[in-house]
Amino acid sequence: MLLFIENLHIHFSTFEGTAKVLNGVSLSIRDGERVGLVGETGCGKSITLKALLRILPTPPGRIVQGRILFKERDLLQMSYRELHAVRGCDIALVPQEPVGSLNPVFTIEEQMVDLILWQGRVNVNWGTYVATPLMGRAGRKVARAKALDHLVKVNIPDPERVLRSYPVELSGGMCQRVLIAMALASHPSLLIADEPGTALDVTTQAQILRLLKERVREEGLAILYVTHNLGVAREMSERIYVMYAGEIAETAPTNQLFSSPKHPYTQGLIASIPKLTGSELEGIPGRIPDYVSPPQGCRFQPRCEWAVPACATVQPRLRPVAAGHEVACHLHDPAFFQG
Amino acid sequence: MRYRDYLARRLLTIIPAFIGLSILIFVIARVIPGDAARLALGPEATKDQVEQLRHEMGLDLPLHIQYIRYVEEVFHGKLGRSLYTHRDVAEDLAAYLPATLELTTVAMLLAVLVGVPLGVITAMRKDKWEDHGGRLYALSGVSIPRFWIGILLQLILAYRLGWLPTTGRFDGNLPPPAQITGFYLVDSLVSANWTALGITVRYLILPSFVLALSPIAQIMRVVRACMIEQVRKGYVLNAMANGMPQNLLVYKYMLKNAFIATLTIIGLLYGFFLAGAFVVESVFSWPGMARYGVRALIYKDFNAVVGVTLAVGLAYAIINFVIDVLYGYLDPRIRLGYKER
Repeated sequence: MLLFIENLHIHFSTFEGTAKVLNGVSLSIRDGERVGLVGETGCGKSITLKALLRILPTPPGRIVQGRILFKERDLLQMSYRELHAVRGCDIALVPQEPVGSLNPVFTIEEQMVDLILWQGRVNVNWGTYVATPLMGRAGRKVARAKALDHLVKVNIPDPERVLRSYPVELSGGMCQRVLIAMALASHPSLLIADEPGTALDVTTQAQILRLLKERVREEGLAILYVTHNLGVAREMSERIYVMYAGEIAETAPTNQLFSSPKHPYTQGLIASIPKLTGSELEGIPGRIPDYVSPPQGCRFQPRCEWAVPACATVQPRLRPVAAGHEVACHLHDPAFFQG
Repeated sequence: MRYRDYLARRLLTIIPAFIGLSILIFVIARVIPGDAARLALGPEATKDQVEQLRHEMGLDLPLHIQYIRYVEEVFHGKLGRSLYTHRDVAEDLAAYLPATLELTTVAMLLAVLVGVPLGVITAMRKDKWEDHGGRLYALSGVSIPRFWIGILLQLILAYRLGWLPTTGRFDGNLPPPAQITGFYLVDSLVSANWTALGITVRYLILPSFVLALSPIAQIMRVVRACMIEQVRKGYVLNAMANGMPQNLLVYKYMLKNAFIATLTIIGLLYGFFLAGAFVVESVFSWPGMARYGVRALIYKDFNAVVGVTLAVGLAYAIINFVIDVLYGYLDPRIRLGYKER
């Protein structure tokens, strides 16, 4: 197992009280596996990956319970030194917002070269930093050549120009490619993609997705693709986790999830995908619950058309219904109705 | 808009500012009640003598003619005679201005070199003891009167311990460095006069420190606020997630962004310096222009007041132009014309 998130609980302090956002999220990724994490805006998917990269601001966030094992080591227990050796080097992030994720006042070259040269250290020795232009194989020139190479791999037509440019001089799609190149520069074994391309127009987004898929396949790395768009998740992953209000509702191999969705929420999500056949758009009534006082029992129960009284008292656990297919819903638990 | 156009536009805005400044000074100086000729000659002078001097000085002409004549003269470098020192105002300025500029520039360098790192540290250690200490310093640094802290330091460091000279700009028993620019630091460096350099530095320490005390606090607070604002930016999260070393991220990537906003404060502080130098120059008997200007004001020394105000205005305009150039240097969005500041 490459990544194993076990029973993760994250709370936030707010003025209204403690928001219990993540409520026991478990998720696993095997080596080279392409996994999608799907959910509505505000369901806690970004918080999950921020916790996993340890860039979650604490406070106000607080990891109450749980483990995040990456290659059998708990990321939450790591020292800064250990963390820096993993973050960016073995786990890399492709962020959502392309232009804002690059520093506006440095050239792409400056940012890429620094990352290539210094990734993996907690701090840079200023003496070494000042001397790098003069250093041979560890120098900035060599790093620049590497950066150029990485830009070529993400199909950037004029990499020399892009290296010399500032982010404002590049289009959103170009910035997104640069970010992918930066994330892949260290040859990580897990890539985390936080809805890259959502901010771009659909054609550019499609290009970015194709590129990402191609690069992931070529490098043979695992990817956790986080998105609110089930269609995109289907395109990008072999297995999907459906997340609702800080809990995993269902997980299944992608094809199986689409052919026989079990959780009422998943069924609603699939029905909500816009089709070109012109039928009336369906949706799920209601919205994500308040995290300060979430519903008792199943968090989806207030919006669920199949809910029975017992759903409002007992929290459903993920249970296998088929090979590799797990659902957290009482309706699929025969024991629940018998007992 | 290209960088060159941006700079040209910045440069052009100085001209109307100067015309406005010159009119303002001229009018205000004339509105101040009191007769400059009478004041110069004293109460013993007869009415005829006063009238004659008024005529000589052109004080009997219509105001707009006086103004035009004045601007012409200023343009030719003739600022007139000071009624108090009986010397040419231009000559006085040449003697006093470098002393003040040297003091304020050193104080500004000190404020930036100390204030910026303190700002970064207090931002990174937000709500820890370092930050609370910074807050306490900011409060006292801004509110403690400069003359008081100046006298206190004089008493302790100069008088009691004798580590530093009490007053003045240079040792009176020794010849000052060869007069080249009037800036003793530059002059002693250029003429390789190391003893003079040492003496100059020793005399500069106390006054520049006292002058810098409150700007250090102000710069520190602004840098802190800007750095905290940066923490939430997407590029910081991305750099952290992708393993950028901490000190590189903070001192190179975040600080450059934060410093752009800080520049504005530095430009404004310079004006504050030129005005606030009076207290420090008085306490330390610094032979500078601020003291000269205040004295001119008290004695209604019309030519000197206008000369000083023009000099201060010019210095302020040049400094703010330099700040604008720096904006463009630091921020490619301005340099490349993506954003107007």
